[in-house]
Amino acid sequence: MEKTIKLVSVLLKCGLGSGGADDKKKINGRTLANLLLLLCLLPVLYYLFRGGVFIQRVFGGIDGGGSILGFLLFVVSIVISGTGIAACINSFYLSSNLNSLLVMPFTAGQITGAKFIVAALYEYGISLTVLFPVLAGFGYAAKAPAGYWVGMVLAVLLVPLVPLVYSALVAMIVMRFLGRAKNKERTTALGAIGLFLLTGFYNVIRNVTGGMKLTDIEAVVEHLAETLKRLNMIFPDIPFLLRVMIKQDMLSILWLCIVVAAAMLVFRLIAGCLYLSGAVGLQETSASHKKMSERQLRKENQHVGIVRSYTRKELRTVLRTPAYYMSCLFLTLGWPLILVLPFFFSEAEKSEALSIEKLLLGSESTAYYIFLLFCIVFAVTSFVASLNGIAVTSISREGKSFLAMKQIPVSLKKQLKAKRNAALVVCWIGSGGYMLIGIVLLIILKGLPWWSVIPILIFNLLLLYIIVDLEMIYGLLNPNLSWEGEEQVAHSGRIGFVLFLIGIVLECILVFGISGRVKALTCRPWIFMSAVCGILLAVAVLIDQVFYLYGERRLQKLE
Amino acid sequence: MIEINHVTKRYGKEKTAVADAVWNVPDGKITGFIGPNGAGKTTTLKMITGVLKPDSGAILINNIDIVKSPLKAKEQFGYVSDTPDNFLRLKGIEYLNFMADIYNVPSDKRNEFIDAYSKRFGIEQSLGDKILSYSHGMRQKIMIMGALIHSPSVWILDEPMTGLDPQASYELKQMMKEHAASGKSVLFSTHVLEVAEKLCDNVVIIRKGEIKFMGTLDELKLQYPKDMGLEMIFLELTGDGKDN
Repeated sequence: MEKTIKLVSVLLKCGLGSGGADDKKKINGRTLANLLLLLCLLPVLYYLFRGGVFIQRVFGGIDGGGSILGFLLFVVSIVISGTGIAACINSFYLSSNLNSLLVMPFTAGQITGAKFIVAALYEYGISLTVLFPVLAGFGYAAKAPAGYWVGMVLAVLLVPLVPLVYSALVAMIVMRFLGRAKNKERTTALGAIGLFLLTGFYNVIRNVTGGMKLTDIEAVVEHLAETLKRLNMIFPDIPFLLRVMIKQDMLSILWLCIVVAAAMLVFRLIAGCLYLSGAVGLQETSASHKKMSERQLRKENQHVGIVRSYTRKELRTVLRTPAYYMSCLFLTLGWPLILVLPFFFSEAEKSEALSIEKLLLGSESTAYYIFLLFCIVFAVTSFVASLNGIAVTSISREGKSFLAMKQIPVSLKKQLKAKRNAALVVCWIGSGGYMLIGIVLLIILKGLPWWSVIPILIFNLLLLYIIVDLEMIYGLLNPNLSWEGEEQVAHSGRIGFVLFLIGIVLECILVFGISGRVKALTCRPWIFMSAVCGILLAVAVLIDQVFYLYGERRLQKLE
Repeated sequence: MIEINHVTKRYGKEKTAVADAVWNVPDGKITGFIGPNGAGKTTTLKMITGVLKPDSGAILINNIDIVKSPLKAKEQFGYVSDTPDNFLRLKGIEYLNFMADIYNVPSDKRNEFIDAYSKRFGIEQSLGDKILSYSHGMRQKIMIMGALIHSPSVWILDEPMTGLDPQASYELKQMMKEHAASGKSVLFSTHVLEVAEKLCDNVVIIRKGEIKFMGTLDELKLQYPKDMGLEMIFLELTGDGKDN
């Protein structure tokens, strides 16, 4: 047990990236960032708390609240089971420390035990941020007795464990018996795609149920009461938890602990049989070992300009690294799956889109129409560009290869240009590319003016230059070059969120502050458009100059 | 040729990584750069390759100052680092073409080079695979090919034999000898004294930022008793408190 606990401590330290000698500034910066993140989470937690109150008031009468609580615990357990498979495969098999651990005198049980605890600690993120506030709201609304609150604490602590055991068992069976899963790159890629599709699916469900009437949901829950009782046998800890929370049956706490302990024992026994044989023989990626033909070689060995070659190298690195395309590409290119697809299932969102269409078709003047197009372009471009981590991580991605940037006979300015171009290409596809398709469809189907394409393209390009340059500057401020795994590179989350918020504020200023004045304008539309383009161009050129000047100096200083 | 003229590099006020170094890598010779850990080898190589700027002095590569004309100077050499874990997500052939584009190597020349050297190193079957799938030795080979694809006159190799199989190691040594024999320069750092003894025409020994010796191995051996092996001479020269 002592070895397992020591291993947990080491794994957590490595996972949190605190292996190096961090100075006080970095630690303070990290603490501040985490506090800020917590602050941003508080409204979400409150929203979930209010959700719990709402659920109790609407469904608390059905079966004494047992059915709805059972349903909630069941859903959370299913989510943890699903996400837990990815967490377990990642922690048990894909971590960079695996080869070091396998040659040390650890038993399979000790390694899997430690990694299970680490995976569980990460899954507690779901139980703390989702389950806890909802249950707290439910209990508050129900003026629940002490037993409920005891049950709630137990739920937060113990609900993740049984589903995670299932996830771990599935992970070990897959890695033991599915030879193809031993390719780390392929497994990570499939996991990333699966997670992304699940998010889209969740959004569709959310929109479908969001459109359902309350009486319909009540009827569904009542109808499912008996089924839920049977379903909860999949997670045998849930019925005992419900007895503690609803019926104040404190003896059930003992049964609950026995069930969870039994699940842990089963996990330990099976891990001893399956883990090591699944862990051995893992490969980073596949290799065909086929000699390239003369034709293939001649096709590859074509001379290309330096900036183009460098940009191509950047894009290839991002597209082929799971950690990068998850954080840099998926949302940038796949956001229509999450935001546009659910639109077809939600009446509320359909009517919102129709009102925007009405506004465009019925604009008072051409200048105002161009202004509306600009607002739409601004919203989409700033949203997509803030999701894109390619620019922010462009220097950090170099890692230990950073020195190569200074050793090759290519000016730092050209290298920065190539890195910026890589980000621009992806952002353009994710914003301008989709908007182009959208506007062409609207031109054909709804009769918008054909020249709408021109302001969309120009505004989008100029805004992209500004936003991507700003993100590159941010990435240069404090790059992370001493990482062990590519997952440590992504710090785009925070700046992306900040840029997203700034985008919302500016959009509000545009829509609520400036639109009235634009409506009153009497200038010719091409003058208005030229003025907007002129301002954007001036800002873009200025930021571009700052980017190159600062970028070169900063890179020269970095060692 | 590489000329290092009174080069000094300090980190902060207390640590001098390289102190007033004066030495050169002449054309037509293989020069070994030897020193214990922390002696200043890596700092010196970083200054020669343009990663770090010296606090004083000048470094010339084929008479081009690396600080004043960095791009032109960098075109003169090919550098192989001691850790071949760069560009892992690129295929071998993509990496080679990227390097060839950087150094403006025409298509026909790169074709010839890739064909010849992939056969010489025995990695033709792996050019279409990602470098991530390569073993350490194969990564070293592809990095060497990438560094030499533009046929530089100066080769700078940092621990180049690490991870190479005997065949590849032999091939690289032969290449180094051929390169020097054609009147060009090779500078390589190593910890393996036997390799230095068999390969190098000159050695430069560094300790705590100071050059302790520069010359041929025969000249070095003359300064010590006849029965003293190279290993003992090196330990004597670079041991603590033993200045020569």
